[in-house]
Amino acid sequence: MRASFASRAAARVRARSSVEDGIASKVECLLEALGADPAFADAVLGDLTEEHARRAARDGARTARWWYVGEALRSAPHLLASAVRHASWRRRARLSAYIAAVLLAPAVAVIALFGGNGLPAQLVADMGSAADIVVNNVRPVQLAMRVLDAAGHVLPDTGVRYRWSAGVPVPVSSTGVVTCTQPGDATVHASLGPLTTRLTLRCRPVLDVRAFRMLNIVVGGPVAEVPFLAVDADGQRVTQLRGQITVEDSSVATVNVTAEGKQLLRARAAGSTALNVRIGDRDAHMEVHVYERASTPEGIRPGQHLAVPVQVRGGDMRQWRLAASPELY
Amino acid sequence: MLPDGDEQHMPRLAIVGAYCGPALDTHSFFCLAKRDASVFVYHSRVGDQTREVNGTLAVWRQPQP
Repeated sequence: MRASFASRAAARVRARSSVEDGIASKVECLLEALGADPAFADAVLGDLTEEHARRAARDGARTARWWYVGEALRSAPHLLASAVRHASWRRRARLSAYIAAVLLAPAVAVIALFGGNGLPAQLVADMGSAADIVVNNVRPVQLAMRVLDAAGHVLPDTGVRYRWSAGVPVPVSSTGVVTCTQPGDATVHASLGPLTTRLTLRCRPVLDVRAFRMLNIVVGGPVAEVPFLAVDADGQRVTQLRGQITVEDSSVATVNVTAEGKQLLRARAAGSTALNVRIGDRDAHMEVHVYERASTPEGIRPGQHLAVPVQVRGGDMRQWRLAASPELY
Repeated sequence: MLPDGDEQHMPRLAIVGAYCGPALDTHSFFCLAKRDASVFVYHSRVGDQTREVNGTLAVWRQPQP
């Protein structure tokens, strides 16, 4: 397909009249811009133009045009390799810039679309509800804010500053460490650059969490509210609470929160586990024993938990025998 | 003894033949039975004798150490 330079040039001039001038000139401009060796590029394009003319006469202009575009694209790697080999350092730099731009533009677009974070646009309390923060801690506690951009992406919260502005006088540091020295409500402003959010700090210090040390529930029995009492320095019940109830072994029992915020303990399977209630910086631990229903406790094995429903009227008495055992009942 | 709702009206409990002490809640006991022991559940002699009382006898035998 290679021809001598003279015949090629002549053919190219002739063919040019019938070839899409626009396509050929664009390809030439592109190759020139990419820094391809002019002689090499001319040779390749000359061959293409000659073949295009033949195909246009034989297959029609439309088919020949598509063939020309396809072949020009197929030649691009060779032309780029030629440019790298023969071009001056300046052209190589320009070529590198073009390649980098071609590769980076889609990458930047993808990152901006799926993973990019913008400037801080919103400050939201990360404790409690949107603008209300219940603090049951007696010791100093760090307030937490979430910094979001306009698209809702979470940004680092470094640099958020806090300031007490009204209400009960409780110490609030500029970094957001608050000490609820007394019960009451305070207004605190959190700011990050031009963003400012007003928070209502509900100081409800809890001095003690009181609870039964043991809970006994039955599989399939009624769901029980976790029985505990949080009290303040005067021994009065505190009702606004923020904390956590955890069960050590969730195969034995689980805690579910209702829409009203009640913490319900549900028996899952016979066995023993532990339950921990943590409110502010105080907590209470409970043993939880879950029993399975049975008709009699007689013959109970070590580790078993059995529950026998009993109904008696006046004068009634029921009796069962428990075997001697080195273990406690 | 676990109440079935009404803690004021639940069966009474007695354990004979074992050493028992109060456990970690109000209606429970820890017991050591060196010999066979008996558990009795009965209706209180005080109050309405015609009223049926309900409860659940929950027994846990601790696992072997």
